Amino acid sequence: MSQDLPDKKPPPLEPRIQAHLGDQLRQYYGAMLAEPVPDRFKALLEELERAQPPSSGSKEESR
Amino acid sequence: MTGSLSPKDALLAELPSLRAFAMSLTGSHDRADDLVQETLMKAWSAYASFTEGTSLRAWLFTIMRNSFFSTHRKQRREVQDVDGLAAARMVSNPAQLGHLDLADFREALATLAPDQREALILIGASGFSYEEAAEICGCAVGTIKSRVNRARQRLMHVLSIETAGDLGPDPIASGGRSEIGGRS
Repeated sequence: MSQDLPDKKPPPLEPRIQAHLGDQLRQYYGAMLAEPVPDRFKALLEELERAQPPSSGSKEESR
Repeated sequence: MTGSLSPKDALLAELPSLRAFAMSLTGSHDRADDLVQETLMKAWSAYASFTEGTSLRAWLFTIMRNSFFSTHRKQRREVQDVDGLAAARMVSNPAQLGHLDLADFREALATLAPDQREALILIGASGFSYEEAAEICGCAVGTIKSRVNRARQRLMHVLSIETAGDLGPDPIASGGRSEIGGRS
């Protein structure tokens, strides 16, 4: 019905654009969050725990 | 007592977030994993200074971004230098606008200044409040807000999204005009 070409420029950062960018951003970040963590980090933490017990060890309880 | 994880398990649980944030900062898997390792080691030796009951993630992100900005900044500078080039290249290829995929977005994100990208990720993806993000970055809330705004505008510019119409399913003529309303 209306003209194909809008007469006025839409304001920058329209809600729709922001929503679109937000979706892309969350997709991008979500894809990285979903990546499996390399074993080297688990190994590193285990090694650290063995070599250098954490200084705030008060919450270690015996079972 | 039973409610709290051991430091090792607590850090393990944060690894996906740490890697995601590291990749957002560095833009590369290899550098990200180096940064994660550095962060884990620093966090481990400083664990006593972590306050139980506060956000471990925020604490770790603070360590990570400080490491990144102190040691990785030089490498990053090269990327900033080609900023304009990358932007120009992407803007010259607006045919893909209707179906921007993640690769395009990732590339656009990489053209942002690191502090802007960081702010955008913290606010838009990691779910931190402006106050938390400001604390992580050691700056004012207003600074975070303006970085996020600049990041958004920059992304729009790089992705050539100038009108909401560009987002629609309409095929987009590749003439580079901003006032594309649809088929004529």
